[in-house]
Amino acid sequence: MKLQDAKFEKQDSQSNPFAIQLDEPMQNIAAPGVCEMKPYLGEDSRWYSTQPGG
Amino acid sequence: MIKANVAFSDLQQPPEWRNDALFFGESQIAPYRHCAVETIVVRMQGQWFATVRERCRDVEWDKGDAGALVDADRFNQLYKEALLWPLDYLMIEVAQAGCRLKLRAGLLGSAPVYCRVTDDAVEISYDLADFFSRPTTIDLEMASRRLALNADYSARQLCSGVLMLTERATLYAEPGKSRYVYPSPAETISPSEEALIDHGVERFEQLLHRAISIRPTPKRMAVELSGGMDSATVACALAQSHENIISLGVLLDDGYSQLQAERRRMLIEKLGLRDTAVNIDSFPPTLDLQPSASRPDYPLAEFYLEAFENLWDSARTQGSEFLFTGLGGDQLFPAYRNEERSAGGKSDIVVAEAKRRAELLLTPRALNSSCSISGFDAPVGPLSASVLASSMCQAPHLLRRGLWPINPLSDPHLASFCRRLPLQSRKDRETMWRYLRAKLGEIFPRSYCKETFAHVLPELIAHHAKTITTQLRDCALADLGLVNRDAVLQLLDELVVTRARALTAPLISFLWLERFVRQIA
Repeated sequence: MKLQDAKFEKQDSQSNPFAIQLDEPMQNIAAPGVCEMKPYLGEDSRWYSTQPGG
Repeated sequence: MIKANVAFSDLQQPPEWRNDALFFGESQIAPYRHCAVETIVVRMQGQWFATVRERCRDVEWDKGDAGALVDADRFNQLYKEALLWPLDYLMIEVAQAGCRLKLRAGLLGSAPVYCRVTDDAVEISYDLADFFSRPTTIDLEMASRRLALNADYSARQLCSGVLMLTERATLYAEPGKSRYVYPSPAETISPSEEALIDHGVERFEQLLHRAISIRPTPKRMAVELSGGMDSATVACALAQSHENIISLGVLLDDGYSQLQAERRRMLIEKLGLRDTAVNIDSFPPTLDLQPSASRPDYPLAEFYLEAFENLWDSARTQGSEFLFTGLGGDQLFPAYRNEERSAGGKSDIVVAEAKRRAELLLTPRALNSSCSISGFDAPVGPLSASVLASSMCQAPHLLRRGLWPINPLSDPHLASFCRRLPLQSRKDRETMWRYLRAKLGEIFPRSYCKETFAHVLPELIAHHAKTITTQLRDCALADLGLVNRDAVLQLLDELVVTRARALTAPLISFLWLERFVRQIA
């Protein structure tokens, strides 16, 4: 079974006749990356180092 | 089912139900106000969801939790129940951490869900016209496909940046990001090869009755009654359990209408309906290319909208809040590929010629765009895409009038049953025909030929050809580089002479889109 298929409940003629995808509610904690800045020129880490110079 | 303006930053605040809408900060979610629709809000710490859905008689829902804080287990249980709601719904889920929002559509497509996500807000509406007040650009690839008569049921629509949440689809949105997820395709249905003694009429009747009775009984309702089998089937089933039914019909003009009028008269008499009918000649489609200031134009619209609007207004004036239609009847008894019973038929030839003529209007780059299949179509669902697209066209006009659409022949259980019928029961809608004969007698003869308005538009276009030519001195779609204006005028001239159906579809598709594009230009 593909990983994606594992998320789908098996078709159940009584309670889920059309195999509606029963996904879970969203995670209550902020997903990683939510607060990250988009890389603007000058702020992108490829263009400058945040590591202290040594 | 909703109109909403949500700023992500407001999602950190708890929702408050006030004046039939949910408020949080400056944002609000306004469910469509109608007795057919209910809104449930379920909250837990840091998270909540609201589901706006059709009321259902079959499912008990403990309303004790509505609005109160529940624990995670109860939240998950109610969430799952909301997803499995047997009628149509739209769910909005919010996680306060990260200001995230998730939209999820049900499978019936009763009302379209359009949404526009920006870096800091989400705008949602069932009425596309709500997005026209801001500067809008046209998606040229979608416009090219529309002009080439390639219909799409997809998240991508004609206005750039405005997505349509197709059936069962999900939209995730958070500040600066959004993600659209189509559902898995519905299971493929195979027809039975075993003949049924009664052609499945008894089960057909049970499922039809369920499709009508699953919603709470309205006091006043209207049913479209064209004189054809689909709407007659709905009217017949409705009349078994309801009274005070208003029937609505658009009549063909003189010379075409005698048989239609006679069948309608018999149906009205047998079922005890109160009828309102208008003649198509009295409310012809407008061909004026100048956008109206008072009435928005839509990129996809019912061809005979003016006549239907008159009827819908009449139904509303008579107190109806529900409109039952025969939508979905054409898709109930499909022919499968290995059956190919109509391949090479007259209608196939007309369709192929219409597409060929449509492509002749396009510039090389529009033709190229129209041919590419970008893979953005919604996957196959329990209901056919053409049913969902028709519903999408009609619903905003009905909802604006306070009419809730119910299409019993689009019920997924009924559709699933009918698609599985053996060929001899699907052919010429045998099961439906037998149901009607058992209930109403011999109203529909075996040789019954469905009426069509196909002759109306060629005549009308010919009548207004000079005005159309004058208005096309400037052509917005040509300015966008999509059509060749001279090819359009040539098609118009040819239609005036021949009145051929195969020329009408590409020309009307062009005229409707031209008017729409002028409106937002």
